[in-house]
Amino acid sequence: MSHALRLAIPIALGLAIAIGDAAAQETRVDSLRLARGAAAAHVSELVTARDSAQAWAERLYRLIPEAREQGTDALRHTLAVAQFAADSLDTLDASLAEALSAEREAREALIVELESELARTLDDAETAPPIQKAALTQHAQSLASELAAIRAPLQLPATELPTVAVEPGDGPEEIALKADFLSDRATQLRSAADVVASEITRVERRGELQDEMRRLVAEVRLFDEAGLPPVAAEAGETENVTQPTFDETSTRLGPGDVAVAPAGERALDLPILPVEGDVQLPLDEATLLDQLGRLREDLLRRAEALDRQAEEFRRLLRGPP
Amino acid sequence: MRAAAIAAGVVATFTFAAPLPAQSLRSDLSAGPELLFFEANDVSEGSFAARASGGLFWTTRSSAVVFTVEPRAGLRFLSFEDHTSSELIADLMASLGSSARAGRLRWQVGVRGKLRDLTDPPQLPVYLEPGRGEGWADAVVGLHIGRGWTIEARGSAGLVRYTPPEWRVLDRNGALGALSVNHALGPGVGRFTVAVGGEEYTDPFAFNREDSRWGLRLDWATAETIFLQLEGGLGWGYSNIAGFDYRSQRAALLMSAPVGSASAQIYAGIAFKRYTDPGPSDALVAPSDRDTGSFVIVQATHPLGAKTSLHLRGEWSRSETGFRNQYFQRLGFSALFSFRR
Repeated sequence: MSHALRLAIPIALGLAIAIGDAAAQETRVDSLRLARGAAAAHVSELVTARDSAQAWAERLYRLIPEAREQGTDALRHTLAVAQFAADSLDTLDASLAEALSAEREAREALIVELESELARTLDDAETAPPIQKAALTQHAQSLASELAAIRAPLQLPATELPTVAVEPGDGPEEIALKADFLSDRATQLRSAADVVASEITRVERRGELQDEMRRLVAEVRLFDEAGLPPVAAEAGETENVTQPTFDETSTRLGPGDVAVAPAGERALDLPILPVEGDVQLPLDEATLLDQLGRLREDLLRRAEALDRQAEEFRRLLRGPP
Repeated sequence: MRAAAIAAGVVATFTFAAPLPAQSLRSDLSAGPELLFFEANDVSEGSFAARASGGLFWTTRSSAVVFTVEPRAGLRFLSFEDHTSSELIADLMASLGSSARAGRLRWQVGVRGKLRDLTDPPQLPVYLEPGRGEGWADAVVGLHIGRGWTIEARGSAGLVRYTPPEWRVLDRNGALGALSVNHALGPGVGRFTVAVGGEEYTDPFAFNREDSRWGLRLDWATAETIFLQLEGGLGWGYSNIAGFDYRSQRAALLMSAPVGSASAQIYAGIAFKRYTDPGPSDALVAPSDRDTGSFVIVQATHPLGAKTSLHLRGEWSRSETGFRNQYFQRLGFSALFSFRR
């Protein structure tokens, strides 16, 4: 075996090992890139879905006054749908939190791998022959750009961001921006809660009015104050209906004596304003108020959570006491 | 009428009992003084009265049905120049119906019962309803057919019995059927109803009297910022006893509206009835050729606390008949304190 061959074999083996190692490293980085890409795509899908659900819910909140004008059924339907939208938001929030967590883990794993890859590439470039140095340097620059992109501060969407967190690369401006954003969203939710609270007051007031009316009618009906005395004709003296029936020598009342007329008609006629037992089936006011109460609590709970998070961000800015 | 007293006691007991858990229970109690002025055929008399009434509104519901019971009782003492009278009334309504989530087809069945006792009945010009008992069973079915339209059918049957012997000529059994079409009109719901009913008098002195009637009714109700219900109707009555056929018209109003932190209620009605063949004027077959009745009740409700209110109420009613142009009129003022929970 010539000296050249004896020298070539270890070099070839070394190159083979090095190339194999590099290839394995490349495969691992690609795998992490794919995982992080899939996680980010999932987050984007959920953010889009949540934005749509949020817009839907806010549209429904704005429809409440209109539905109220259209009647109880329309209002109940709108509130039920609004509650469903709020529940959907809850579900999406939970899913989004999980997806963000998964994306964060995938990103951090990728960052670690890219940092390792970058360090190794830079080391290789220092010791590499000139013919390889340019390629390795270019590869290192590509890795550095990718790392910078991944580490960049979170770009806040213009309309909605359900879950906002302080990222490792966030500066004071980014944190303040996120805190303001959260406070703004909390204010919007409180405005929606105010609309619902005013609806609760309206429903309660309406219930009081109906209760007063119901009690008045019940009492009038109880004491027979609207069902005026019976009709003289109907109470007529059937023994001799052609004769006057009022005994002027007596003031004792009898059915033929009462010189009065029918206001309330007889019981078998449709009674005047039959509030009770009427064809109008009872309104489910308790359910309506329950729906409104839950909706308002849900909105306030969301606003409180956002305010709390915003305050945490601002505390970070103020630093430790 | 011992039952009326027992029922009143039961209602009072329930009124002050603790609410049942996990069920909706509302109760109210009102009491206060009252001034009443009666007038009939240019003779008048005043009375000082004290009244109290209370009721429960108990509802329990599942996802499919709603069960409601509303017992109510009232007591009134009236003081006249030479004697006193008292009224004791017990009333019960119970219903079972589909819940609001039942969908397009809704139904409700119910019973109503009332017992009334009047001690030492006053003489003219004072008129108070005599003692009586009555009971009714009702059923309602409603079907939403879309675009705000609903068709409803109802039926009821019951009986009325009087306690004074001279009033038993009015004892009767009866039944009513009605078919209504409802539709959303503006902020409320309008309803057109066709009703058919009949009565069979049970007393031997009623000469096997049987009446039938049918009527048309239009009403409209809204429950928004104010509660308002308006009604107008026409009726046609027929009897196997000569002279009792009639035509009638009527209108009514019920309103409850906020006035600042207080509220006002108005309940009013008017009805005209004209007999189509009362006989010659010098020998009327029926004792009257026409009847007219009207009443107005106005109430101002001022909240005194979260659960208490003061009600100032004025009421007026007048009935007239063609028989010797007789009339009966009543004017009343009351101040009632109410407690509810």
